[in-house]
Amino acid sequence: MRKWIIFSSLFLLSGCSLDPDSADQYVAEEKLDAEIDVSAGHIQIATSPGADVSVSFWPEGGQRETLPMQEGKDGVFTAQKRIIEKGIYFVKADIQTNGQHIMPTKKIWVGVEADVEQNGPSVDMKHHH
Amino acid sequence: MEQSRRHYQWIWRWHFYAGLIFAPFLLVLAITGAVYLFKAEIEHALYADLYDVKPQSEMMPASHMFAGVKEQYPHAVITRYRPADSADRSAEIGITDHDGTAMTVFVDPHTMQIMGTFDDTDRIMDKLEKIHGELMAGTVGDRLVELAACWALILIITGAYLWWPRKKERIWGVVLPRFSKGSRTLVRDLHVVPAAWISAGMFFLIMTGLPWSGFWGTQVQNAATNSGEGYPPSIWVGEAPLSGLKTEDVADVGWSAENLPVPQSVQSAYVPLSIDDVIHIINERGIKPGYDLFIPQEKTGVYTVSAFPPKAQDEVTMHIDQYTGAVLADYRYEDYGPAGKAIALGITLHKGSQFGMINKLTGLAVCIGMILVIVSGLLLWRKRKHGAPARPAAGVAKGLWALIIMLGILFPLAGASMLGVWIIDQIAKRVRGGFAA
Repeated sequence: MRKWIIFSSLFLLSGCSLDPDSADQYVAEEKLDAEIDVSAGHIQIATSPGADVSVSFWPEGGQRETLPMQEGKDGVFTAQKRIIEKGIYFVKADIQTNGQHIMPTKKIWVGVEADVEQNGPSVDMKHHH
Repeated sequence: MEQSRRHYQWIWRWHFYAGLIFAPFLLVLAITGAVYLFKAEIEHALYADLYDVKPQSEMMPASHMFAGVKEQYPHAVITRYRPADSADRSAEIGITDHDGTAMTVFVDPHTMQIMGTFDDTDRIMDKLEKIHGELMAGTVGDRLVELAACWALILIITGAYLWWPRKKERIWGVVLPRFSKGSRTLVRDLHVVPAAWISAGMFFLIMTGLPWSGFWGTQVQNAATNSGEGYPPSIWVGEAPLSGLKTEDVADVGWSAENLPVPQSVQSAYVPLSIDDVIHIINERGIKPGYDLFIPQEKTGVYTVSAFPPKAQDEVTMHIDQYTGAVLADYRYEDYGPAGKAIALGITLHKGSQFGMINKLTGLAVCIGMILVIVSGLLLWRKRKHGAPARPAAGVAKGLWALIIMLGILFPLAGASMLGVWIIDQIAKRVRGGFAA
């Protein structure tokens, strides 16, 4: 009987902890990501090949325009866009596959100081301390 | 015959002491549980002026309501959004004020009018839940409730043994109380008979309530989640996935600067998704309002959709990357393992929401039965002439030991307390033995 008492005390003391990889045992979502690069007059979106991609562009508080995109190899899409005025602009990629719909957005500051902490398009959640 | 009489005495002694010690806790659980079953009805009556709005066809986008709340509470941080789930119900926006107070703002989704705000700690049903779950005493309270629940199982098992009719074909005093045999018999019957009737319900409420407990519940949930048989992680135990940080800071880019009249610095950075885009993604996944959307507070945090409606089959837990909107995890009832499904169904049955009013009334009947059994049990104790029962001289049968040890292993907290009782009992035996010698 003493053995049983020792066994139950051991069970009591040894906690059962959660496996950090336990999510692998359950249903997983398709992984979809995209990189938006803005440089030298063009916008490049790198994402999964075969994805549906559309890109919109707008100056802060201004009209949105959809940029015509050219599909290159391996899920790389490009568009030409020149900015000639100082200001803040947004590039938003709308990317859809069978399993995912993502819309990463990049903010661009041309000739003005970057203020990413204050003026994201969503409600500011930072600086609450 | 003598042997079974001795067993009866042992079990009766256990039942007596366990009942006496845990009666106050079980009484609290039964009373708070009985009220909490009607949470939805009570809250609707209490907060009708915050809940009810005049129905209109158009609803404002979340971003407008957020802006309205930000205007009213400029120093607050928005932590939660619960869209209106019908045209005549307000939307809820959870905020944390600059001094750390968590509050809920009720907004008319048609007119954007703020209907009222209350401090979340004032929510009466939350207080009741805290008493029911941890006696308002944090971890210590949680362990005490768990201990009371485990000992209630022991009370049911020992009680069933004591109740078990030893003469065939007896009805009175077994399934029906005897009213004409004196007050002591009546009190005994008012303890034993209702207990027999509700024991299955009580057993069910204890077993479905235990997964909530901080010690046993967490262990079982961890083991179930690890094995793939339980809830997927982040619903009960485990962390939510993280949003992928792309570039942490603003990056300089050599974009179309050469096209500008004067060379300018050009910088870019990813910005979080707008709340309206998040709602759009949630809608695309076929999730109907009635959920809470938790807003990320850290750079790597995620938007979490959490829906625990009345029926377990409609539950949703979904995590969304705050920068891309990618759904990192989308767990529904059908994605739970078999143990997770059983626990989830147990929870909605325990709360009385799974089958609506019939479910609630069944729960209420068990709670009232428990109160009756506890009160009559205490009366039985008061009516005793000889004080506490003496320690029976004979030992306990091997089978009984096996049952006790098995219970102790299945419920380690109860096991530890039984070990404590056993040690005290041994000391008592020695001391008494010493006196005798």
